[in-house]
Amino acid sequence: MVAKRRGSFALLMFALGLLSLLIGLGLPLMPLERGQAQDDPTPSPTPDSPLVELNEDVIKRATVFIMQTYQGANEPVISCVGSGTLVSADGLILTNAHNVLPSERCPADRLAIAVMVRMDEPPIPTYTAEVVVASQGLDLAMLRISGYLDGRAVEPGTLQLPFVELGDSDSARLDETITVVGYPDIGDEPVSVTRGTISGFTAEARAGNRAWIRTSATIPGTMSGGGAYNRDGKLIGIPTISPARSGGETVDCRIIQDSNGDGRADRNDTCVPVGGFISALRPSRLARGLVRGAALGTTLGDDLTNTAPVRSSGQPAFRNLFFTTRINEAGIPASVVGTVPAGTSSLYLFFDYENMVDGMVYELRVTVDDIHAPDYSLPPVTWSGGQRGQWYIGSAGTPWRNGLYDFRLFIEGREVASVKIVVGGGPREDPMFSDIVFGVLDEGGGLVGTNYVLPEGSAIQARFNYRNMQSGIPWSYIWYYEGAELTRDTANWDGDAQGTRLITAAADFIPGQYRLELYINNQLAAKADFVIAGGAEANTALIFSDFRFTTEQSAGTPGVIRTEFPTGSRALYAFFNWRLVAPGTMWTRRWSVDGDVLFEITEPWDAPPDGENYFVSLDSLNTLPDGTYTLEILMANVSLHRLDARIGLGQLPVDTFASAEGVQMTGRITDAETGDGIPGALFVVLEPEYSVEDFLWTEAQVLGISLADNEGRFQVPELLPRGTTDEPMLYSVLIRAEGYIPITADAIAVTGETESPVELNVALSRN
Amino acid sequence: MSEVIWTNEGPPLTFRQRWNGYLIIGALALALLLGLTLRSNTLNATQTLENLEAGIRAQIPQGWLVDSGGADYVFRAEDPDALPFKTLLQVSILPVGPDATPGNILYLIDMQRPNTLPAYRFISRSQITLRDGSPAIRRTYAYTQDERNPALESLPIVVEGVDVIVLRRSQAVIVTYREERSAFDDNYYRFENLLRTLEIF
Repeated sequence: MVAKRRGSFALLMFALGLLSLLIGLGLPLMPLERGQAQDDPTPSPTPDSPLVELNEDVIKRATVFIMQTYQGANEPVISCVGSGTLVSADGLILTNAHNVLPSERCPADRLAIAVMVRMDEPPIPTYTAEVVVASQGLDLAMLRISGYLDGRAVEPGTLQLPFVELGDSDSARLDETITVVGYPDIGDEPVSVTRGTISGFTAEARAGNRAWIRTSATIPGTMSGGGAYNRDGKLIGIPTISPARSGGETVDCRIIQDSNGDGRADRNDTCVPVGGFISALRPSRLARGLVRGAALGTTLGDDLTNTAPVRSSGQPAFRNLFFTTRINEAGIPASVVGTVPAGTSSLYLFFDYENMVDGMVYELRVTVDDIHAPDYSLPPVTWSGGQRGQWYIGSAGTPWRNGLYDFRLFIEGREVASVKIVVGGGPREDPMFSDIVFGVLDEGGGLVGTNYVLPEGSAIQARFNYRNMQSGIPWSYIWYYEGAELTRDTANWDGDAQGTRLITAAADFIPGQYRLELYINNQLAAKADFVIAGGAEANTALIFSDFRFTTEQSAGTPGVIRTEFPTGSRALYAFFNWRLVAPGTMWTRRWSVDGDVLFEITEPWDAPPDGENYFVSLDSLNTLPDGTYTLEILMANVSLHRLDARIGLGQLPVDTFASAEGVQMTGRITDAETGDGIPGALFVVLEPEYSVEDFLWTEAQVLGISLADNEGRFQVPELLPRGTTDEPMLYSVLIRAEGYIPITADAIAVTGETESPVELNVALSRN
Repeated sequence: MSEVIWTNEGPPLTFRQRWNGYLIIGALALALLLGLTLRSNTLNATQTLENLEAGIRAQIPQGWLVDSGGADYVFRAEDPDALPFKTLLQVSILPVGPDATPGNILYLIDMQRPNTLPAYRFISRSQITLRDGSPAIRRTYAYTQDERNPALESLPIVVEGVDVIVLRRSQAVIVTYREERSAFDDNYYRFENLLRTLEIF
């Protein structure tokens, strides 16, 4: 009788366990959601409904807390903190460069990474990490988790961490809802999720119209380096605050420990900057190359000169400020404007700069009728333009309301230049010049080879458009070479009111940087820079020639020259000859693989004007993966050469970039009688092609395994790939623990609509 | 055939006999109670430790090995009889800045511990309130205790620990209890006693 009762009880518990499992599995797949979607295919968000349809759980778990530390007198000292985001399962972290690069303000000999263990608790310091690649100018960096805090190394391939995927930041729209995730303080709060909207985009030279995404979200400074996500849960921006400076303006710097070992924690000790609020996001587009390079294990290799940029001792300065409403593809301003009419949607502030260093902090503060206008301003950010040149900040696609705008530029907190402009009124009919291009005359008198990179010679012409001109108006032009006036001429206008005009300079154009300024009534009307380099060939500049690829070099001499290389090459060198390039001329080299940019370096030419066998290279931690590698050479934003080399199959392996998409399976395994967790209980998910009946206990059949912890909690590290609604992916699971009746289940459907994570609460009965 | 009828009926107890019985039972109960009390007093006897410089006073079990001369703790008491791990109670003080929070202190500890405690692993964290109303953070962790001397044969011991961290002016007071995993719950009351009697002045 007792045995029968026990049997019934066990059967009941088994049934309850199975029922709870099925309920757990079934909840996310309830047809109610699909029904709602069909009823209202374009549901509009309401204030009470979630504005984003993303998997916050995975995003939160993929968000890490980064601490720069150094060994103090008695203990490790935290010097600076920030957030970061895991972008691969094996521990690649995307964050701000200033969060990880040691500086005077943030001394560091170790990077400690705290990860989320429980959703409602602060992260736990667990790992150490190394910088894989960093760009001080973009203020972006990639880290790789390399060890544990106790000094043990992480074995490659052993980490299975949650991670997120990069989204398309170029498709982000004004007023789009974004979700910003990061850590709001040091060890007191769990990961923070802040929602806001995109309030605008800020343009910057070299990065284009979307150099920065502006947001209305209130983001604490310690969330710098975290992630901003679109509605699909893809990372589209990195919240970025300017790096803290020694002696600089820091809103909140906390003294938390006795860093100098004198027995007191006071003003003589290191404080941790945590203040400020973030309103600017670096778009993920600018981070994509770093992420891809780090994931592939590629690094920028040696080049011929390998010289570090010379740091100028002069005072950093901005000068020659002017506005334009339009820029062309080469980043040249179309015209110079003194006022702009009402309804203007794009406005750019141009200026020359010198003695700057990448990583310096600069800022644009804009007031409209003496009221601060954060949407048009650029908060303190890092400089990325190198030492000298021309720069612009502005925005396109954003309405500029009427008023008197005051633009003030700051370097390291010091105001260095300002300029005002009025927006308002109707379209003006003032005389104007615009759209300067340069070229050489052909035999028929036409301008050919129009470009901003021209060959050495004396026949350089400039063509520009003019409008609303009147006879007799005084106008003039000035040519500059390397900042010094070359020649000028002044005349009274004798042409039509509207058309195009050619002008030339009576000068020999030797290699270097040139500028043409056009004036009407002594007011700057148009301005354009161009570069003279190389020799003339078919009316274009031939600067670089004889490109060769090789995988080895010795003392600057290339090895075997080929364009196709076998798998297993460690480095890829591109050799070329050059002529007539003035030292200091800015040039850009861009490495891509299978169409994705890995590295883009813009720097001054640091070799003699002519020579052979200049080389640049791509290196790797182990071997370069199979793929088609492209080297593109640019000057003045003009693409001059684009060459390909293939390694192995000529394309990246299909699974090179693991997808973060999938369903996570998590939950708790408990004793059906006591409700206590069963430590060590085994949860197995089979590959979708196998059912429980087919399972032969071989690893190849297993998709993922998790062991329950002390509380019975488990989490399958592998994400379950999704199917579709019509063809769902079907999974089988087994739950076992010694002394308990095992539970199995087949045909667990995972579709594109299955919410992640799937939470399973499984009750096992004793046998 | 004769039939023997056995009954347990005897002559009724006298008043004196009945009360003698009651008194014996009572005396035995009293002796048992006294014995238990004596045993309890012996086992739970405490001694007061006081460090005026640090401003710490607390009671720890009597007979434990006390060390008050550590560089990084105010005092440390270990049960000399405990096997295989010497149960440990410890109070330490960390100078902290005016802006420090208990969470900050936890991070400082977490950065340090893995270097000194093998296989250090965080288990849980919770907010608690001390007897005097002070907010504190309680965190549990585990690590392995290993014999450093290779000439001695011993297996690593899994140790579970708990820290209670409370901020007092420019100091963080860290109260620690460590015990071998299987005995952790049984001896936890000693840690509770320490917390209950802890005075920070």
